[in-house]
Amino acid sequence: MASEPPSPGGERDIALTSVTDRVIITDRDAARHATAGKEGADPELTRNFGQAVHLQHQLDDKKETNRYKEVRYDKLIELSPVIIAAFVVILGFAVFIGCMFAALGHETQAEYWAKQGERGIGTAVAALAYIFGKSTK
Amino acid sequence: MFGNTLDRPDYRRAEREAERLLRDMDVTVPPVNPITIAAELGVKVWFANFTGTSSNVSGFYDCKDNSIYVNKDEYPPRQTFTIAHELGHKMLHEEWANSGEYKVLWRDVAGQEQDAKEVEANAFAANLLMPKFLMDRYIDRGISPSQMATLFAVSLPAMRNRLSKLYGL
Repeated sequence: MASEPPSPGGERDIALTSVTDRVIITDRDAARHATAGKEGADPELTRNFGQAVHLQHQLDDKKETNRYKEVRYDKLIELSPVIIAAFVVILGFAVFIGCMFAALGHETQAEYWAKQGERGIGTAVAALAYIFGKSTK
Repeated sequence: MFGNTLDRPDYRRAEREAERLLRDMDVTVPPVNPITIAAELGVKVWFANFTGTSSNVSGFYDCKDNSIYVNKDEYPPRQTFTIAHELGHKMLHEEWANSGEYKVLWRDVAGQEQDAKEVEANAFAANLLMPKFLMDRYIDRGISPSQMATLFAVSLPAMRNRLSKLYGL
């Protein structure tokens, strides 16, 4: 009795259901029977997801830090005219005090120094008014 | 029987189903873990070695015990995509996936790309793992494609493909 010639594809043919597309079509049963040592989790995959979660937290932290910095920067920008005005107030008063001392020291030029002191206090008052005007808005 | 019911892949349906699933599962941040989603759907995921002629199998959906088998030897982003791909079959083509016409997923997918169901399952997987609403959140933040791939726990080629499709990058 002549025996059937061996299949050219050998063992692989057992797993194939279609002879027309041998490369991609397989029998699910064959794959099912070919599984060995099945496990419910893969440590490498779990680690991979851990890395992703870690990166996500890092990016969210970075976003939050940037947002905080932006808020601070915006606040600083908003406050900068007031800070300058406050500096002008101090400077104005310092000029006023300086001029008063100068007027006391040089009685002949007292009128001149009084005038400069007046200008200094005027500037300080204007800056102060700006600050108060700004804070009541 | 099922081959003639679908001539061209329905990308919109794949996208809709993936989005619906993510909404139902309340997924709001990356990475999207398809194992968790599978578990919610009652599908068990097994990592196994494939021997002999099936050693090149990436994974398959086993309708008998409603499980997805993934090749243990593949690298994690590939496994993730395989699980999402098989979930796509479960969600989009359940009748076919339960039939004898179902095909397992091979590592060399060149031939399978032609099959509308495989293309749909791939589209589903891409939309599930890299949904537009999550991608939008990170795209303008100066993150490199490589970091995006890590963030979404997918391979760099998969991420590049998605970035190209969504944003033309």
